[in-house]
Amino acid sequence: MSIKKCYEKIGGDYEGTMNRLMKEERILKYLNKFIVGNDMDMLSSSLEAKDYETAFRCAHNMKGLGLNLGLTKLHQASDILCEQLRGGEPKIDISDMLLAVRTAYDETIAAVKEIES
Amino acid sequence: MSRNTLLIVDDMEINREILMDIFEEQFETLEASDGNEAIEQLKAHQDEIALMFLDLQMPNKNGLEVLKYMNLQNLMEKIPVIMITGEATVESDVKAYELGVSDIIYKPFAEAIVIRRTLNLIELFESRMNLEEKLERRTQELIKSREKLSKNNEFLIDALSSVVEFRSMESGEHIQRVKYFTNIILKYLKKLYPEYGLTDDQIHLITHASALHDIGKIAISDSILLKPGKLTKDEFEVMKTHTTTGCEILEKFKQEDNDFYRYCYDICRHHHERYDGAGYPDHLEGEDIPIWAQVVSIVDVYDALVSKRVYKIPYAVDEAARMIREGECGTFSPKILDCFEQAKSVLFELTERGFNFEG
Repeated sequence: MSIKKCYEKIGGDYEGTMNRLMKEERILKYLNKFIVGNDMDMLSSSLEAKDYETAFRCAHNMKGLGLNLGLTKLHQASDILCEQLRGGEPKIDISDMLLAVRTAYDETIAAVKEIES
Repeated sequence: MSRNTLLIVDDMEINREILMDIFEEQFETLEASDGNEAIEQLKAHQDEIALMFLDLQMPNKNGLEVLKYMNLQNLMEKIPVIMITGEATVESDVKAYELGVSDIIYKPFAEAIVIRRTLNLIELFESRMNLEEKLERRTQELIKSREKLSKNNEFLIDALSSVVEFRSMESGEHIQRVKYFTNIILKYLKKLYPEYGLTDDQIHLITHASALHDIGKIAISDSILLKPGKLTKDEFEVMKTHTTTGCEILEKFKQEDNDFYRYCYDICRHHHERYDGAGYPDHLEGEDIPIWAQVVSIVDVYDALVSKRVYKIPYAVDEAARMIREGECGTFSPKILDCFEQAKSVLFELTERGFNFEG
């Protein structure tokens, strides 16, 4: 699968990302870094531990990466979760939001792994 | 470019890498993954860093704390900070600008724009620092030339003042001592009696003006000025004119609205007035006597008492102080007497040790 196809599959912004980063090699380099990262694990474990400060930062980071790498779905899902965690312990149930982040994250990982370089 | 390093502060490695890839050809780069590391890098490389990219959300120490540190260390003036953020709210932007960041760049950012804004900021800070350096150099030069001018002035005043001393064949140290003692008493006066509103600049000028207090003696004939022994009543009347004659000399060079001229004039004219009004030439009383003249007056009396003169042997310093305190040699205001009491140990020491005014 090409990088472009990968973005189409996960609903990412290929055009915009290419415009900004200029080269496919660079996009691929960052995506490969992204999939070996442990941000999702940290997000889950910090939420379990009720460490909302760390959880907020993880969601925030994921949102930022989603923006930088044009991973639109991941960005949107983590943005919603991030807002709930901003003030510490969330006031409402966030399990659906967490699930949405995890789904976007897993889809991204799976698609990136299919890229043939 | 003297500073050629970018400090990239972000807890996400990918974010740092994106920036490093953009700038690696033009700049050296340093990384920090939290606020503590950022501060360490700033400490070690603050003179090399041309600009810092800063993420706000970081573990351990966040971006705000890095900004606070930089503010405390006055680094904000030297190193421009670009905040990179994923959220654009007016509130957080205003806060960041308040803390001194120079620019905010939102994710996702286009490479060309980041490069342009970064270079613009570096250029701006560089030219501002160059300007400041130039200004600082000019200021130093000006200060130096002013100091030189003031030294020359001082030299001329002292030379002029000692003409009289030279005629009376004294050692020439009386004027130096009067200046020195005047300065000490004025400092006490400033500290103990703020109501006089004395400033350091004033003290400086009055100290130099005190050198001219006896300039009018140049017009007193040798037979009176150099007479060994007590003056007759008529002779004393002539002697008293040295105050007004001094003023006549000064008036030839009168300068309106000049503080230094005013101090010289007042001191020349009024350094023999007495607080009870029994002095000369104008019989001024109390605080009508300008405070600078009062100071030179007590200093002049003290130095005359402890100095050897053709017509007398010197008094011991304690005895001289007692005579002044008990009103045997003129009357002075309680405030001036108080300052004299406080300063006298310093004056005594200088009187006994003698002192060298070179340099």
